[in-house]
Amino acid sequence: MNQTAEEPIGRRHFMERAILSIFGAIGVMLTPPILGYILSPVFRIREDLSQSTRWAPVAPVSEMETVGDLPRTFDVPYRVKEGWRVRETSRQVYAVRKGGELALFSTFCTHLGCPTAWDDAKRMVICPCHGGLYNNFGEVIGGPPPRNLASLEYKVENGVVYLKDPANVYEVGWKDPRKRA
Amino acid sequence: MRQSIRDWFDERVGLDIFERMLQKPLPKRGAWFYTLGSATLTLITLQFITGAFLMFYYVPDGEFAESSIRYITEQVRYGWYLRSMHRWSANLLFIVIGLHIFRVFVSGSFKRPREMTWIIGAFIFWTVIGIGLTGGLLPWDSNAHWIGTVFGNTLSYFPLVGRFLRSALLGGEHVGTLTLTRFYALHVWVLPLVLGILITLHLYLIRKHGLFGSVIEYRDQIRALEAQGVRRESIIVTKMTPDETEPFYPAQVFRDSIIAFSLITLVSLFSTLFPFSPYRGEEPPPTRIIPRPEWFFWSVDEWLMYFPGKLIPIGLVLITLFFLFLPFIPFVERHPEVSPIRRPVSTIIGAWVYLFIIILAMMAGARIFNY
Repeated sequence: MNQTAEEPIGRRHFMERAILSIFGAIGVMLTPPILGYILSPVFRIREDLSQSTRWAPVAPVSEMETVGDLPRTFDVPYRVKEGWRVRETSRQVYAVRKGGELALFSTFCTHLGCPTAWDDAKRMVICPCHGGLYNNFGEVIGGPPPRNLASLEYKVENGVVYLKDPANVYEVGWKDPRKRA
Repeated sequence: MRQSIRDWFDERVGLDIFERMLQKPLPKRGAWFYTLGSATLTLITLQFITGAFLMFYYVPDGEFAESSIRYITEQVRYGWYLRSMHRWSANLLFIVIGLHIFRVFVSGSFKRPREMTWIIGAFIFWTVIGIGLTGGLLPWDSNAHWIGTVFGNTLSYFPLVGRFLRSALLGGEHVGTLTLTRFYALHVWVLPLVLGILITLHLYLIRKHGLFGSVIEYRDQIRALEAQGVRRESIIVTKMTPDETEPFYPAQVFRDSIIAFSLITLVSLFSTLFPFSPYRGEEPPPTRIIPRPEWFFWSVDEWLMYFPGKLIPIGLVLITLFFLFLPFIPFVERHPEVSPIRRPVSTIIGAWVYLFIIILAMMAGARIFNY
């Protein structure tokens, strides 16, 4: 090779650096928009929630008065905003009278969010997925659930019981994010 | 005429590369065991083909997904057949891939210089799991909904990043409209693309190093070399040529073809006798829903049951570490010995891990079906 000492090496070195920089720059240009694009829904959860039903009717107070100390299941229809769509759906809640006071709690198992059901014969709430067990007040009595079934906020207006934020998801996991630990 | 056509292509494409590939000498002994890899490839190919055609009618939208699948299975000619093929072949794929990994591990085929082949194989395994997981949501019936919910909530138990992972994957905090399109994109394009690239690399490496050959012959040669005073660390398994070899084509291609034919016949038979049709039926009332994960996730499902309450993240992190550990196996077991009998610790650990996974899955199965 008829190479002069410095010059071609310097050129080669420059081009190697340039190639790296070019592809680095392409990466930097493309990565943030793509990441932002993919993660967009994550940053809109609050906004979506605010456009979903805030207070969903559960049942008239007169019907609630017949609820005793064993949980009864109610279907709650509500609207949920998911990205570009607003969808009508429904969920279930348990209502029970605890110390004379009406209490609503979630049917979603706190373990992994499966739909639980009240078993009349066994007199407990059973989760079909991993065998989580709760008593009539939604307190854990067995299985893997990390905490009691989430108690739900409600209000009484014009003789109807309303459930707060039915689309909110704070009912699964070992911490209730509404409460400051 | 044939020769001139061949020459025409040879000049423009360079057929000699492919001819050399076909002529690559391979060990004769144990050759049937080496069809497990091609069996995996056969089933993955079948998934690509059937999946591509399911996309002709399937609609990834919460309102229409179920009806479009119903249309495929009930109205489209042979729609039930293609859909059943896709599902049966997916089921079989997990068995075959499990056997393939076991064969490679037990025969020490991951050892120097085949570490990269193993590592890419582990990535392929992860990708296949991802495709199986995302595909499970696409029927969009109540079972799919709860499987997605359980999976997302499982992720949410990861320390620090859990809740973020859940929302990033589901496209929100719960399974909904945005979840289906995300899983669809992952299932039909993103992950299959990754899988295609990985398989290409895997095949290139297999061609580079040749099929592994017979453990027995390697054992004898390692012994002979050690007797000559060669240090164990400097023995490279690939440098040894098994005594008996034959070209890849036609002997191994013939074996692979037999396996491919048997597998596709089996899938076809299952699809005809036990089609995934009619569709899973009317939606049960929410209180009667018992979410049932696909059987290949049963062992994970059962494992997580043993970590109640505050321990849930521990179970989750442990199982994640197990999957993350797979590519590192060649760097943990580094000595050149390949015989399963002469490396009993590895063999026993491997067998126990498989047994453990199978037992967990059976326990989960018993629990799920007895509920």
